Amino acid sequence: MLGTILSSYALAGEVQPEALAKQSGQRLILLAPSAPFILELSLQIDHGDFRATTTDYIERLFQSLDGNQDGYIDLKEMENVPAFGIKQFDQGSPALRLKMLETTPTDNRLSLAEFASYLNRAQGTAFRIAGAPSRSSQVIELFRKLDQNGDGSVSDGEFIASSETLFMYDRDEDEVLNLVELRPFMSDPNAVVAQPVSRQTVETPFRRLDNDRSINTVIDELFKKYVEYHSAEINAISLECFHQGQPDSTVLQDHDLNADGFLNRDELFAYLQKPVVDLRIQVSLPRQQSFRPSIKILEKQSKRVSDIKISSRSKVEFRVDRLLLELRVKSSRHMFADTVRFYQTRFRVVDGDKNGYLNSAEFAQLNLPNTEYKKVDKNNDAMLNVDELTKYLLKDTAAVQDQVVMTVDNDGKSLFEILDTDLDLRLSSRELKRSLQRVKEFDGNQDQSLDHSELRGHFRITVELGKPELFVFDPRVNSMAMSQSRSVQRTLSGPLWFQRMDRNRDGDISRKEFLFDPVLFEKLDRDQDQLISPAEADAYQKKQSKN
Amino acid sequence: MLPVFRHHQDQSCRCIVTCVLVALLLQASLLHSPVFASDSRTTVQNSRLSNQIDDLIEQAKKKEGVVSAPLATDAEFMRRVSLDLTGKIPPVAELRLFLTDQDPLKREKLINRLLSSPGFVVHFTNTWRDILLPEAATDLQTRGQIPEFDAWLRSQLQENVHYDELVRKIIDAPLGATTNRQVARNSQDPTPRAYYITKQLKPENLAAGTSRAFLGVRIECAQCHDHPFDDWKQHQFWQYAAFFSNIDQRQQNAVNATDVREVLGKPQIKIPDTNRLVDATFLDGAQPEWDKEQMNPRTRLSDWVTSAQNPYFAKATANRVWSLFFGRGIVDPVDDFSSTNHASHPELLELLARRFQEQHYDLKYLIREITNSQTYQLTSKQTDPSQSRVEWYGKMPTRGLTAEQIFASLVQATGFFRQTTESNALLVGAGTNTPQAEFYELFQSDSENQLDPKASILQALALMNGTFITNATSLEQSDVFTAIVDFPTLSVEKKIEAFYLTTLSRFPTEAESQRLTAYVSAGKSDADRTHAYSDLFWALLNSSEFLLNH
Repeated sequence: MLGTILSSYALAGEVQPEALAKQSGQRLILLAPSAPFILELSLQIDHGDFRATTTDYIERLFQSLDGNQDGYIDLKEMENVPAFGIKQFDQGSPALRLKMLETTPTDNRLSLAEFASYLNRAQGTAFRIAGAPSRSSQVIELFRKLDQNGDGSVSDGEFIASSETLFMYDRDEDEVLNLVELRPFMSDPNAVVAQPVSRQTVETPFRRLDNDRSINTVIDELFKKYVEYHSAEINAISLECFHQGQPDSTVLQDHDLNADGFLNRDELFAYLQKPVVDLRIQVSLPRQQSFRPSIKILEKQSKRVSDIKISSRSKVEFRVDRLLLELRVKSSRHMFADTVRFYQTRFRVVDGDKNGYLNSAEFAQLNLPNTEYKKVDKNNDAMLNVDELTKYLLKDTAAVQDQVVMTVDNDGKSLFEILDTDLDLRLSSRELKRSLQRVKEFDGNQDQSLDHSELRGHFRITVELGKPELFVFDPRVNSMAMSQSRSVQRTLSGPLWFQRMDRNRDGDISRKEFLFDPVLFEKLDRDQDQLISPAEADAYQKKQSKN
Repeated sequence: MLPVFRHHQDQSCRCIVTCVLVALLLQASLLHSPVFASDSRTTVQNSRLSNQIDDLIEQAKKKEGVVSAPLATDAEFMRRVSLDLTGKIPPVAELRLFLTDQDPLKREKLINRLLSSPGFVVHFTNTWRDILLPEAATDLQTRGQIPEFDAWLRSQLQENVHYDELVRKIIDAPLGATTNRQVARNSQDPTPRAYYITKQLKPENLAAGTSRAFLGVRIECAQCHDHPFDDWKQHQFWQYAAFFSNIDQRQQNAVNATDVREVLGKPQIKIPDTNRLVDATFLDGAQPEWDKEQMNPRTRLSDWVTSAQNPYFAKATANRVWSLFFGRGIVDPVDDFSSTNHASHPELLELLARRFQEQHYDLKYLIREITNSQTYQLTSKQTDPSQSRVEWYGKMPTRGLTAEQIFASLVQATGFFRQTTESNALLVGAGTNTPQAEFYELFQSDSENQLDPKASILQALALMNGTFITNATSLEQSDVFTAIVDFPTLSVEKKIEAFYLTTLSRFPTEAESQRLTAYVSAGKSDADRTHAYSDLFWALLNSSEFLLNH
């Protein structure tokens, strides 16, 4: 947040600081199925404003790095700027690192504002939305595979074509798709994951509304998603789109400068800088102080919010239209102390010769993720003592801790789970054939296509401070490991020959599985759906035994 | 338990029965009448490569006095092309449809269908992996690299990435920590770096591997001294190896490509046991200009290897692809292009290489044309003594199957249930006691010659008395067997027909049908008849007709 303010003010001059100063919290837009929904999180860290804490931190960091106290970080001082565990920043000369900034400083040194921009670039802005895939069936991204034209939704046509679309994934040609065939390849599930999960991009329907860039991206998405409110002619979106559930529409109308009932790109941009907030929530998190984190609803403006349930100090549930949102706050304070203590203990263990310091070979056994010896050994005397290590860890964790992370976990069903009706973790011909029928009930806005938010009716949202990487693990790895060991049992219905001819054990005999004359297949397949069901097989068996 | 009991207690009886059956089958396969041979034929335009292949082969045959065998029957063709393109025999249902199809272009259509099937991707992934990572078959340590390499190859073949591009990606595989942000983001994407890891990142191994696989040259014979039979000098080997000498492995023996650092610029290498330092030089003697721009030497090499001017690349590839379908190369062995090893059909090799190049190294194009040729579609039954000289292609040579082909065909024939798993069970799961692992261990062949398949006693025993076949022919355990035997009101002939189609991919001949019907019908009870069917299925699975590609 602060980074955004400083960088946009100092570098681009896009947003006026006064306007932002009035903004009291982190604004988010939820791309709900029927209409967008604006949410504001008022974030408090240690009972102080989230941004104030950040300012303090950045200033302190800036001062500690500005060796000659001239108010600038020059190239030499730049060498000490932490890379925050991000590989790109961990390599190359300071000059190269400067080039990664959106606006490269011409004088090859960083002012406080530019430094904040660097921090932003490295960490994302201090508030982040992260999606978390939690089950292996969600990892396979069936949705993206079926969405052939890449428009973010799966249309009826795309569902009908699902068998053909997925044909090439059926590696063993058994007409059934299992998780291994559908999911992306995991290069080395046991290796230290190069990218912590918090930085992986997993689709969520939440978007930040804080700087020019994020607002512009949101506008693009709004135009694309809410087709029914979008007028392609004038490239504008109807006021109706934002009006839903709002008792008062004067603010909206004020932004419609030409009073045509539509907000064009510029009008929308201005509106989203300061939109009518549907729901305002306060989140309070401890960083240095010790108290229980809390969450409470400050203000509810929209009628679209219903079923509010305050489960505890740290958990709130409510519905926006049909979507169930479960918000909780969590303190990850203990983790920081734990990291430092953990490595201090490790220090003693790996100090093989017990001389009180680590050489680089001993250091390697510490297994600090993404860290080089010389970075930690500040005075470069090839003797890393416990103080140097502690200082490094404190600096490293402080940087991570500076962020507020909102993790969105979709607890609703994934498309794969919806289609996999027999729960055997495989998709059969019949399940694909029925896909269209099966997803109809999820098409909330009845537009004959299915998008992400319609699919996932239940979001679990956790707001907490960033975690040190030691404790970040990739849930994908876990879910991968347990998925495919399960054996698939033989079909138990139908006559014995049916059970055995169903070689892929999906409960039906396809044309390809049938061993006899195709004419006989047609005789058995009474409903002509190109699959012999157990019932059809039973009927045939009975008829034959009567004869 | 019944069949196991039978296998042990009733061995002598079984042997007699099966000997009769096997003899019958052999006789039948020999009696395969050429009258059926002309039942369908691909129509070709004269300018087609497949036609030109036939013309050149025909000319050579005339010169050598070799008489052509007739065309293969539809059944023989479908089995062969399925094994060659998808690595397994065809499913019964598809076979039945193909055999009754009256379309004169049905063979060409079948080829096109198989080329765009997932089976093609899987089979050619296995094929190219065996060619590119031969070490993986024997070296247990590098087997762990196979899943990623397979996943990468699969993705390339699925998108039909042309062969020059594929080779370029292998030679130029990303090693070490990536600095490119785009690449870093997709760090989960598989890469071909296993190629480097299995070759231990050693310049000499990489030089030998790339020259053999991509250029058909065994330059490694000149590693320690000048080549004994060819013109290659020792310094040429090391000059070529120098292209890989900029790779610096921080930790010796680390099987991890992320530990690798690589420098740019002009690479040099010292010839071991000498004081000579040589510069990187291509096999044609040319040296890249290093001053122009900082470029990875491997990128330079990949450009040279795949360039249209390279004298070896297109020919070596065309020759290798040819060998996949005929069991031998036009230059044979396929990786021994040398002044002493001449091509049997030099003009044909030129033509294949040229057309392959014109089609931008599209493997599918080459495969399509070869399989559409009459030469490929001849029967494997010898009709004239002159056809015994396999290098003139008077008939289709009979070839052995790879371990993967044998297992996949057994799965197809018996209905054994298996699912796709992340790791290649055949390779990684060795010793894990799965049927796949067992078959792979037993049937993997180190023989380079497909035309001379050797069977071991263990292999024979596994097929005759192993658990897999025992289960496959038992009413309690089997899938296909039980499905056929238990199906109501179907005549004995129809059931015998189904057994033939599922194993040998053809209808039984009239003589076979009559004798076997009499044999099965002689059973007095249902149990006797089931027993007879079981013997039949067992004999079919153990026949050489099932275990060979013909």
